[in-house]
Amino acid sequence: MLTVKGLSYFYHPDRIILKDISFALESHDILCMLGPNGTGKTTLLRCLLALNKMKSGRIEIDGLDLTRTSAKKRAQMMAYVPQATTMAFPYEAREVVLMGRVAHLSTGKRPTKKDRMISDEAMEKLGILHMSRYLFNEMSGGEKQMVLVARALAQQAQILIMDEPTANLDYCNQIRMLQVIKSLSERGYSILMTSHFPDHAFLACNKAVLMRDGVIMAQGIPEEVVTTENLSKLYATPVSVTEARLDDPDRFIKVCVPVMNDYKKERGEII
Amino acid sequence: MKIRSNDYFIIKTILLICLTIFLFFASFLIGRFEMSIKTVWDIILAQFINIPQYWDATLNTVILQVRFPRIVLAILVGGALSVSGASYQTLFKNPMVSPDILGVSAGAGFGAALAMINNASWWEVQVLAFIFGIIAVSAAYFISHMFGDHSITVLILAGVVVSSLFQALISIVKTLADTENQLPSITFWLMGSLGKCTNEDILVMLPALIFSLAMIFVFRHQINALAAGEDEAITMGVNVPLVKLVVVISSTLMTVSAVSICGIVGWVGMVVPHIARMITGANFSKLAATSFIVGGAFLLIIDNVIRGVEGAELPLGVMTALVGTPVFVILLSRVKKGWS
Repeated sequence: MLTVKGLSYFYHPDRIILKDISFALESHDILCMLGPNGTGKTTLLRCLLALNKMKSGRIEIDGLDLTRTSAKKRAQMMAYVPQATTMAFPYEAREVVLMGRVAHLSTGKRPTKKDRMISDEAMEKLGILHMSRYLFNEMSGGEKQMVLVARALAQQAQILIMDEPTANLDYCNQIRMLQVIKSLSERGYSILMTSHFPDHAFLACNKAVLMRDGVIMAQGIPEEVVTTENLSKLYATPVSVTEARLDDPDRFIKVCVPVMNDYKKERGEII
Repeated sequence: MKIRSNDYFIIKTILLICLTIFLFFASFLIGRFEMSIKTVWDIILAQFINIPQYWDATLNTVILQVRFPRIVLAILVGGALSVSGASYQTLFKNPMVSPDILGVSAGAGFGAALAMINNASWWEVQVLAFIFGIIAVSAAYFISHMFGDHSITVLILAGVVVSSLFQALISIVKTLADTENQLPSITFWLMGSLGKCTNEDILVMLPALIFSLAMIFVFRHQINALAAGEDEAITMGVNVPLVKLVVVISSTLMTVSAVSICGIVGWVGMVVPHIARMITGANFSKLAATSFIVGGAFLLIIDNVIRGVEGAELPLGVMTALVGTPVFVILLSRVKKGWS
């Protein structure tokens, strides 16, 4: 579906922000982009969304060159879920969701009953329909994030670009968000998300891209890419990828734990 | 059940229109010449059907040449300023923005002052105010495009800069003006008044107003999406540069045509959208309509107070500030949660 080839970006030619980025996102894919702060993850998302103009490279959706399409056409293929902030004015949640329908609205026309139905369905799917009349600004971080996902769903684009969908959320809301992401991919959506939690690559994703200093360090399936060695290099700090046993004795999951330097010396493993 | 601000839009709009129509007719009764409701009604009706004239001929002039244009223009100016304020607030995602954020009032003020020290006619004052209002906003727009990254913040900054420049120019013109006639007339113009308006002014203002309102109506849902922010609007498929241009052009046209007729009237464009939001919610497609009606009624009431006060004619811009500031403080305390 979405293929990125040789994308590069800079503000000043002597300081390259993104260099020769290539990856592909198929339908049902959940791609997790990992990397330290300031490594260009957000800039990459902005280039994909055409908010920043890439200096070279190609972005294609099903073979269609994205730089040649209008904002509207692009919005019908690719939706963006930003990190939740506040709105300047007291909008209700359902009004925020309905905004997503503007991607399908011809100029001068107003949203029809069908548009309202699609927005309501999006909220229903995410279990927030009962909050549709809450004021967006009075909702919690997790609820706001869900409203923004609903807005992206109302946009009816097959590709969702999510900027740290689990940032600032507690465990419960993180897991809820990851479950939502997983169920969306089962319905055929392709999801590209950035994250600061490598664990989430194991929990929900089938592809991981490790990015450092504007280049892709490694990419592939999380089990192969998210390793002790790679993560330690990625974050320039010792990180241990190990297995944790769940209550059920036969179930193991992979977890990533950053290690404080002195403990590392003593044990070389997690405590 | 609690009535939420987004419910019953049509009923609320009809009620507001009825209120404005009532105010429209009631306003004819205010002023130095006292007359009965029936006389007013008959004078207006006599324009369309044949009614034998039983009233004094001067009343014809008072109603049709003095009160009618003043009342109609109070509504049009109030509505125009409010819609343009609401559009800018939504476009800039900022509740503190008023229609003159891009320098239109300062520019128009300079144009008017320039005309006045050259002893120009009232008509020339209006034309020069109109031209310089547009020059100021164009300057802000081009500065933001030449030196900025096309972002909305840079546009506001450019507007503030241009505004300050024209304020300085106004001050220079004031120091050059003679203190007998020119300086007072400049000062009074800058404080705003509907006292000089005529029926011709309505005809001048209407085309600009109708054109601007139509543009804003066509793009209302796109403007609404901009409340989520420029970047998010782009990802929702809004042609942001186009919508930005549409809002700037229509708001400028509305404001400059209002200001060139009645001088600088502050606060209406900033306060009324907040009152309108309390009545029908934040959604711009509704907000634009409500702002127009509420703004018209708001300015009409204030102008009625001015006309009703015996002796002195208080400046309009001063009255809107006197009424607007406490109203704004009350709104601030009530809805600040929604802004944060």
